[in-house]
Amino acid sequence: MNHLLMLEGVKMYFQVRSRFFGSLAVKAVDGVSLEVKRAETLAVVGESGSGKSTLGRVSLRLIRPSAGRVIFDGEDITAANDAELKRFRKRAQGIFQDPFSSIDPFMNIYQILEEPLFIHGLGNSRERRRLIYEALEEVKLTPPQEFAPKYPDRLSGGQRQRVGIARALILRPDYVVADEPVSMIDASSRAEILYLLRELQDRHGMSFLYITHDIATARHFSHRIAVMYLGRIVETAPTKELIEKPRHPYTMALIEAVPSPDPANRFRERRVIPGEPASPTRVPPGCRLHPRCPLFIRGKCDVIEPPLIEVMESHYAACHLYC
Amino acid sequence: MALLRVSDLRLYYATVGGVLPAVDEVSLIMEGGEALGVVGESGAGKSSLALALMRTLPRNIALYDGIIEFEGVDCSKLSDEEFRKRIRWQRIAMVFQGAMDSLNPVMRVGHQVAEPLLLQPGVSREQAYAAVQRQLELLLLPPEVFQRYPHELSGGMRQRIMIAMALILSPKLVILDEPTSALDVIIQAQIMNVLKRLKGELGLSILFITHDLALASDLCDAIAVMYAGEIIEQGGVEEVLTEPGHPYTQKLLATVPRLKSEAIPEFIPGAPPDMTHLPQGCRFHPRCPHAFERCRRERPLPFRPNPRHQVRCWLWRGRP
Repeated sequence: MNHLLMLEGVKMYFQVRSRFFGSLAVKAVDGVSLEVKRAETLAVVGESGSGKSTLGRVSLRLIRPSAGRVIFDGEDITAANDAELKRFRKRAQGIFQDPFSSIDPFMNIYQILEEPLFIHGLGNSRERRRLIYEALEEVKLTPPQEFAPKYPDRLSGGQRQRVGIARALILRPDYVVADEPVSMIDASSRAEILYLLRELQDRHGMSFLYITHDIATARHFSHRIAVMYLGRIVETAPTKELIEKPRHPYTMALIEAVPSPDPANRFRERRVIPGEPASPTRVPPGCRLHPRCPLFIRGKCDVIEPPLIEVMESHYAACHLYC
Repeated sequence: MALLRVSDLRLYYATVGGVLPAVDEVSLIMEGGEALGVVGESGAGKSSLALALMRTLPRNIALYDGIIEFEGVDCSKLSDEEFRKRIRWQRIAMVFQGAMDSLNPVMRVGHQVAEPLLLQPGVSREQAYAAVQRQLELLLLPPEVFQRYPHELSGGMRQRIMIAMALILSPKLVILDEPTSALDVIIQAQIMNVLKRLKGELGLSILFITHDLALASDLCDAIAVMYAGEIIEQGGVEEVLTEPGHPYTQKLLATVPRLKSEAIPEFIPGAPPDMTHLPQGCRFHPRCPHAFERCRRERPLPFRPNPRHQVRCWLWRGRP
């Protein structure tokens, strides 16, 4: 079986209190189906509020979706019990955005990396030491003897993120969600972290769900890209295809908005779509992009929600231009 | 006459770890109507440079000297009071990093934009509000935004409000500190378009602080690259982007992930130096692939490959 993780029609609604209406539903993820193949990096690209992080958390079953199914390695884990989830968590891990708040400042590096081994009852103390040193070497915090006793406040942002990576990978998971792993790292070190993840994937064959707002890094570090807008996937294709032949107006706008260093830039305005995304509590009818879309078809785009259809082999877009 | 001429500006902080030279021997020139991009990683001294220009300094100053000449006036000769009355906000305004989250939550944004004008002698409320409406229009904000409270506006709109507020006294120079780094890329592109228009229509000079070299090229005519408190390279955007002279600039340019090219992004091994324990010689030498003996020993002097371009690196003139 080629698919490691499948999401089927996943919806994640959060209830929030509102002043007048009692409660409102935030439709963070609103009907998403996707699959992550073995040893693949799938990038989920979207702006803030698109639901990409929520999707990642659902796929790790950190939260239980309001509707739809999460299937991991052929097993439906949507309603898994604690014991089943613990087995799943040994194989599915997360790397998070903020290397300052996602690791415990009162534990040293050794303790941080030992904790997952304890939880899953792996090895005796000598074996654990070996695994911890190996993990530190893999993320290039060497010599490991020197880093292990340090506390996180002695480390730079990039080094802390490596600790986060080592902690996620020490259990040799098959599936890893990396949620904006480099957005808080300085530009000069970003690629270093992403190469490290790729190198570890080549060595161990795990699958990554790379969640990012940055389509430019996704272009270089993923096999496929799924673009999200207001809780739905609007386009998905192999990376090169998506960048070179985007079909959805939103993908085109995202690509157009990315600056590249070029002295001629300052003489032209960027063709950019107007406005900002609607609130996920008030999703527009029809296509969610229609109030901002330059190619909007009246009577169609504002009425019917376009389905995700295959426009080319393995290239899907949800847009009435192609229906 | 240049609009802004800065010579040997130094701003050192006294910290628990020792003296921290946040801005060290910085010299630059800006012409009227020009946009200068100050680019560097976190901790390079970009924001401190802005604070030094605005003279809005924290308490723990160990050293603050150098010459800041603005519109021919030597600001170092002005007392704090004179500087406040004549220069700050009137002639040089600033949008601080993350300031859009510091709007007063219980005051309509239009009034907040008007406030600096209302404090001017002889300006009526009507005049001030009319000026605010013109500002909103200039920033492509709908007029009803005037009556809104900050929480009713999106991040992109709040940032435009901050820019409107900085521009309300018609300054000649506005300093923008990472104005788009908290915004999504499409909103960022919208703001950059607005800034381009302001620069063209008002002849506004902009000092644009960013960590993103690519973004700087979207607006700036000239670029100054900062590393560990120093400007290590500056010049016209053509020179800096197409013939970068400093190994750091070259490397930084190579770290930008390109969307439309196969060129894979690189990284710079190592980390910026501890600012209280700077290495001897060139501050970049521990990470520099071309470092040689002299780089480890002596601090490089500025060198001009051409009149519009300046590089602080021994490779240009000191190779043994």
